[in-house]
Amino acid sequence: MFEVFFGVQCGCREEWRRPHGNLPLACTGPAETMTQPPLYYKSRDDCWTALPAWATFLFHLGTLLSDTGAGQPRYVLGVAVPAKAYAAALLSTGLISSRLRSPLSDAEVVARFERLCALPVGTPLIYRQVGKVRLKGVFAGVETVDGEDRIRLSDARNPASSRLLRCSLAPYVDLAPPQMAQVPTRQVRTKISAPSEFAVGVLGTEEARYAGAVSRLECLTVGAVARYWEEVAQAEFATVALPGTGACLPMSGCEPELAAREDRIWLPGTLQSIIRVSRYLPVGEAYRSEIVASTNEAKARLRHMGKPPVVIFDGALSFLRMREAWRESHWVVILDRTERDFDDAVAVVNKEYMKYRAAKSRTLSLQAIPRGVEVVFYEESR
Amino acid sequence: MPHTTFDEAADIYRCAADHAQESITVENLALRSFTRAVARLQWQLGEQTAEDEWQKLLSSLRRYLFSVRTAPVPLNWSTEVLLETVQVHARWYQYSYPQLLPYLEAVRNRLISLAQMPDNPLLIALQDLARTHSLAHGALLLKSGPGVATVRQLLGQIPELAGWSIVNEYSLRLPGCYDFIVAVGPRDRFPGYVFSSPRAPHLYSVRYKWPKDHWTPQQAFIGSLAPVTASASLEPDDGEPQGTGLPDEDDASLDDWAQYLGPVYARQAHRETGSEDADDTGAYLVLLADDHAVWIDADSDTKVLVLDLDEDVGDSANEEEGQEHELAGQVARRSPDQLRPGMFLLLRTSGGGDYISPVADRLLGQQAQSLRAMQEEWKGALRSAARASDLTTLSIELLYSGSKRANEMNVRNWKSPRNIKPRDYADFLAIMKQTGLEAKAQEYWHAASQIDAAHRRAGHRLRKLLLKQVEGTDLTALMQSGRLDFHVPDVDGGGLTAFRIEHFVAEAFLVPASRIGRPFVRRER
Repeated sequence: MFEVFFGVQCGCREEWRRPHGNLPLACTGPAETMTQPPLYYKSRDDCWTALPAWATFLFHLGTLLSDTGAGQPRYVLGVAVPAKAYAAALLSTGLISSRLRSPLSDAEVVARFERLCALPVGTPLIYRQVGKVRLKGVFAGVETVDGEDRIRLSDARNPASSRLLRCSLAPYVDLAPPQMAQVPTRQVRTKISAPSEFAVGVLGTEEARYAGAVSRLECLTVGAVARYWEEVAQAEFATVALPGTGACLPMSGCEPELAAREDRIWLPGTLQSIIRVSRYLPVGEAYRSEIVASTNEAKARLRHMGKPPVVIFDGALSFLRMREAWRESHWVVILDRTERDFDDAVAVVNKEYMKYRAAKSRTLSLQAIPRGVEVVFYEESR
Repeated sequence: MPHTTFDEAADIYRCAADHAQESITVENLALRSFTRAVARLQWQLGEQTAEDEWQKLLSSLRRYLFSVRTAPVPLNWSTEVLLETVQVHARWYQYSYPQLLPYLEAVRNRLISLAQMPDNPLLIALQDLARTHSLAHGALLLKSGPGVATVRQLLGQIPELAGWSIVNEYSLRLPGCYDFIVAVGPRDRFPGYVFSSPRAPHLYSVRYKWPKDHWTPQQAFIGSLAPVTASASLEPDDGEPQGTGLPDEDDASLDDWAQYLGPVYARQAHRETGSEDADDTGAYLVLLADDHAVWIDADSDTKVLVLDLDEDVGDSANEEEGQEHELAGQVARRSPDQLRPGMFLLLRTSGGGDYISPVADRLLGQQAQSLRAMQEEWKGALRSAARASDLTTLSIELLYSGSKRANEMNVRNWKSPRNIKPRDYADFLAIMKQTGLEAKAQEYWHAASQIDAAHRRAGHRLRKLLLKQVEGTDLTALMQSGRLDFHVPDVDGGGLTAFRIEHFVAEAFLVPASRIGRPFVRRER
């Protein structure tokens, strides 16, 4: 039998709740009051260096965009920067790490379960057990056990190992991506790799393991795929742990303090371990975000992922070309002032602002905007 | 664009957040007086500026003004040729335009004064700046132009400036920062990012007191959450009285030196080809880096191969998903209306301008000769028909014969050797009927279709070859130099060059078809 990790009995037969994770660095408390973890990057002299103000600003900006639920008015965030490098990556990291602290609502879990129940029998599925294994099988229909609907994940060769999955486990079940179309008729177990130290340090142990088990498309980046790979999967970042303390460290200015602490432990990794861009993951692993080039590949790539709640346009060209494809998502438009199409893209943002801005719009609790960076935020009235 | 490391991004943000700007203005009464005289001549000319010979003169005068105001070149730089042009005009027009003679004389007299001045006021200002601010190693930002080569020589001769490297606005889009940047000329002549996202903590603008510099920090977004504040800036007040309403040295049109180049170079193309090439076609003039230019066919079906570093770079790890190459998006075929300054245009620098045909002929093999002969037969017949009447009459006759799209421009394209065939068979059949070749219509259409298919395959092949070469290219050097030479064995002679587009003249001119796609050196002095 499989284990239910986070299942707790509740009103809809079983309520899904994620226990509060073990956060070695992040402060405890409600998500909106959490302090950012201290982040460092590996500088050209091979030292861990605290993220500069512009980078923490972009990370923070991402955390403010995490309220993307249904019923929220559609928002548009425009950011003009002197260089677009790392802007989308840091914003995504802020957004996704913040969203990981907001569990799926009951309604989302039930909706997900119902979508699975409606699949044609024989649809290849993936089921992930948190921190343990990933199982591949096929959907074998819905069965009622003790008055409760469950979906059967079959193993044609070994019926005894078929599994009945409750509603609460729906988040851990994904449609197998197209690359896994050749799902064998029996279940195949693959060990889920442990989250990186960096992901554990930034998100907390349970959150990091959870991120490795549950796919949820939090945001889509439209931009240069190869450059994004360098930024999220190659560039080295770190956070730091101080044994015996659960207190947050300040984001900046803590280096001398850290240098004095001989017991500090660096937790290195890449942003990819947090934002989990599907394109860069081994096939079948749980994702949190995706990137597509500003061509027509997006729809094919996202077929099994659903619509992204937030779309980050990483540059003027991406925005000018692809904005109409994502009218239903929130928009984050990153514009590099040195881009050839910067003025054209700004003109479009301004036109949209004049046309659709709601008279009353929530305000973002921004940190001080770094000089050289410009921000516009509005919600739409339609 | 080359990948930007986190350190480089941090440097760029540091410069954007904390930089100082200083403006240094220089006075020179002789140049100022000359500028005013040119402005007044232009004003007096009024609608006559549309006439070819005046355009040639104004183009030369504007080019000189642009060069001496945006590069530290001596005031007598290239004045000899310019003076000759002015004097020729004065002689020509003394009887036909007597009312303009005083204005032309004013220009000539002031130019004679400048021709005797080896002074270089901007260079002296740069030397002073280097000395007083101890600026040893940094960047001198110049607008692209023929003056750049002269400046490069001059810098090497002056010890204070020997450590300065010359950069252009495109190279300031690359990762990396300088200790300081000195921009020559009014700041509003440069793209906004040069000063709003500077790539140095210290920016200096060195320019003449005129024309006025209208640059101010601009807020990009209407609803911006933080107002843009001016950086530490010193903009001296030149204490000049406000304008009198008469055209003066602040006339912004004087900097638009490219405006009249279209007709000037169209005439030159006709002169060079002589009467042997009467096959004119509509074309756009594209000004290129390294003082080159090229005519591009204005036909909307035309596609040219470009290298566009602003395009998204793909994902080499996903070739199985149909993405042929990591850089595939950056090398693409574009129609003329999609061309933008900053893109690189791929041109054949040896032999004719057409680099597709030789590759297509190789792909066609033994058939190439007979197919091309058939092609030439009906195109020759169409050219004869056009010569026998005129394009308008021929267009009407083609419409009567069943053509759907016959008009003067399309007929001109159809008879051009650069165009393979009309898109629609109805148009082709009408041509066949009109030229007495109706019996062979199917055969010729099939031949043209084979050539068309071979050209498409050749385009793809060239693109792949180019991608391979671009892969190993130093893009930083390319951004700086604006041109890159390739050797592509499939093209006869092998010489292909990617030139950066500096300016696109968005007005079509009639030029001999044989001049299309052949880069030429601009001689505008």
